[in-house]
Amino acid sequence: MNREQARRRLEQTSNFTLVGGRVLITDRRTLAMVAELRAAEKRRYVERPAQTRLAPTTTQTNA
Amino acid sequence: MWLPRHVAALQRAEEPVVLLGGEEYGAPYLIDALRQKSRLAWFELGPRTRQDPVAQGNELARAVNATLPTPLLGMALPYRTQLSALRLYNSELAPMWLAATTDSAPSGLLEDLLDLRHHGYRLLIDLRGEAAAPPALAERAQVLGPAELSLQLSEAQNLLPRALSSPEVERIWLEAGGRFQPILAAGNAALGLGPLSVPSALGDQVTEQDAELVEPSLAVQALRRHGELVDALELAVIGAPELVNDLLRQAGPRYQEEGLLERLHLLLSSLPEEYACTERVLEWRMVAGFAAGDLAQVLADVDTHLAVHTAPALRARRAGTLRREQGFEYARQAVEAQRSALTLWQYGRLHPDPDTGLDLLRESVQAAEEMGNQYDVVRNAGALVARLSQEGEFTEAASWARWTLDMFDRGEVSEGTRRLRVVNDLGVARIMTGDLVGLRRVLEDAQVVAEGSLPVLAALLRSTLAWLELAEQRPQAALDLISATYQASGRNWRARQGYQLVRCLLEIGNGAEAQRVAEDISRLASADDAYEQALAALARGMVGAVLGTSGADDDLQAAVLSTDLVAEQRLMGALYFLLATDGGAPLLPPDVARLLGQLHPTGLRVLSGPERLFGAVWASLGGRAATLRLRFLNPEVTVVNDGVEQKLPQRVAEVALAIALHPEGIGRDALNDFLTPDGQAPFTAGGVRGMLTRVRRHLPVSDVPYRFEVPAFADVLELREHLAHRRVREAVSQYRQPLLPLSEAPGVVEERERLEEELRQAVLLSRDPDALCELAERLGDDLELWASAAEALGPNDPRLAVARARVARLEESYS
Repeated sequence: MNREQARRRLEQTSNFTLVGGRVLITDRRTLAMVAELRAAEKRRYVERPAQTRLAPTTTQTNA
Repeated sequence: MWLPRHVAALQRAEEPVVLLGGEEYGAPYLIDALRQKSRLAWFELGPRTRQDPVAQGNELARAVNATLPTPLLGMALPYRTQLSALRLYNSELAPMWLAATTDSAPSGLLEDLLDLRHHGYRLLIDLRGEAAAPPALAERAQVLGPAELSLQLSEAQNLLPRALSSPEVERIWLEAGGRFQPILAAGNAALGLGPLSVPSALGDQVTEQDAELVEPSLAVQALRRHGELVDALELAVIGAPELVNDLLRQAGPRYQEEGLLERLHLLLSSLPEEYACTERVLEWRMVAGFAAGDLAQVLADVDTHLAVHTAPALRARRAGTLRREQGFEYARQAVEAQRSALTLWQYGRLHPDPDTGLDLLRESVQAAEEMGNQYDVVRNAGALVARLSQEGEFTEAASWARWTLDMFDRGEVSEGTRRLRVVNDLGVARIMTGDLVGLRRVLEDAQVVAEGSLPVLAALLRSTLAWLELAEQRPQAALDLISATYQASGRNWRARQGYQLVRCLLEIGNGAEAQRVAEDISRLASADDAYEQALAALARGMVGAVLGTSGADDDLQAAVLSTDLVAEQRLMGALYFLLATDGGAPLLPPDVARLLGQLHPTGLRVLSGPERLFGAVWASLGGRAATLRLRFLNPEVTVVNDGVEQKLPQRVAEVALAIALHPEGIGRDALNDFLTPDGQAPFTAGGVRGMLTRVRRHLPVSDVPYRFEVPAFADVLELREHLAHRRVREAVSQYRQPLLPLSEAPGVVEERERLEEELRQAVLLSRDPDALCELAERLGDDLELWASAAEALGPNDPRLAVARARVARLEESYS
């Protein structure tokens, strides 16, 4: 089975539907987890410190 | 009220029911409401599972297990195997509803499912994507479609909130065309509630209108967090291939454990080229390709990688796809680069030296335990069990197999096919070590579920059951099992089954047929297949040894010395060699002689026979020297006297029992008391003498006090000996049925009752789950035994569901 054949068979038999590069989700539990992950991502973005340059590690100092 | 009306109709239905119209017409809501009232296992066949019998089996097993306090069905088994298990356990599970939701009606599963109605199950099929039921279903089921499932206006009024006016309700009802879900959705919207929840076999869903489009990488992460690794990997392949390499670390073993390697092969074959050649992806492409029988694409990529990288895990996997010598070299290189659970397992399996191979496999189990990967632990322990059995170390094989099964039964690994293999290996090891208690039920259950869907495993289990029949002295039953398997086997399996068929034919004294079978398999064996040639030589030699033809010792010596045969086969060759040569023990190789010396009498009886020819051979190996062997605990009481077996009439058996229970001798009066029920006239002196004359036609009995004139062995006394030494498993195994159940002689009745009660008490005290289950099965409705069995069994032991069901039923009947 080559790549193209496999891809076609996969598309015909997958439980997932992709629309414009995104996947249609109907499962409530998955949607809740997606919302949680988005919220966590947002918090990380908001709480990220202004200074992004890393402090030198001990190893770097020793080197 | 719409829901109660239809739920009541479903409960009343005498036939299976097919629901048409899906969510719109309320099918999942009905199934969910029925689930609140009855035990119902609900599963869904999506596009992915529709073509895959194993994936269908997994969905069915998950749904049934979810209704039980402890899982009963294993994973990675085709749906037909699961249906066999449902038929087997119907008295414990039924009445149970099985509900399947699917877009279209795939042939096979649904029709087979409908057959379960004859086994006490109730069936419901939610055919959501079809306008009409296909004729094959419609003929055998009651069909409820849009016409039957539409709401009446009064039902819509009951369903919708009272805040809505009658004209509003009527408008909604008309717009919805009486369909349940749009009416419910309108009510939800009127109350300002969030998206409507749609029940499903997989958990609550939202309607298509409320579905969300999500970035695949985020959805993969969400699925992974919930442990939905099969879905997560599939979605990653389709929409986020950059995640596949990392995900495979957990998802690869999950696909393997659930028997979905062909699906994994499809997924990984479709990966874009830039993601298809990392070391881990190559490893799983090879594992999946091997299972799917399609290695063409992956091997060139693997070899290119291995030419410039050590890649121990990949190298060890590659070793398993090569011829033995070349594979061994790859496995050696892999283990030199890294001693991991995987590399040690492969090197141990392929190592030609038995002791080194076993040490490597023991180390591989330890390495897997240290890594904490339960699947690897079970895989490596299973390989160790198989190798120990092959080398004839049956006692150690049984210990490792029991431990491995405990891991399955604790739910740490759920791959059903691997579990069945371990059950089979444990069966062989226990037969060879004489530990038969509870074994029949375990093997028969395994065989029933494997039959029809796992042909190789089913044939293996039938062979093992045949050995059990020989161990329990039912040669005709052994012959029936092996004979059917032999007739159905292909040419290259004839030798594998044929030597066992020859063994059974010799046991029942059909030497001519055994000779024909041995000749057949000698002709059919491939000239260049050393294994088949060695088995053919074994079969010819066995026949020759029994019939006394020349050349038997040469054939048997070839079999004993063959490195292709496993210990069980070499030991069989050695036993028949001893018969053929009459004193050829010094010619046996030391390893075979050592194993023969250790073999349990039950193992000797399975691997050689008939008893009348082998008495001297067994005695020379340290077996029992008794020349008189009495079996009272069989359906037919028999005696083997100097190698000649005969059945004993009831009265003779009663006298024989009285004498066996009094080895010091029994007087005339005591014998009279033993035999004569209260209120009946005792035998006169002449009557006793006449009776003893009849007894002496079968048994060598002295004058008064009566005793046997030769050393005697009786199974009743051996059972007492086991009880005295707290060997309850052996005692239960010996207790094949109550003592002379038709006899009313007072001595027999007293001994029968005492023996059973002593055995019961010993088994209850032991808390040994196998002994408890076996005795409970034999004694039938003994609540105390079943309750103790339920307490002693592990939480995921498949017998627990059976034991609990029996306890519940007995408690109900007693109350």
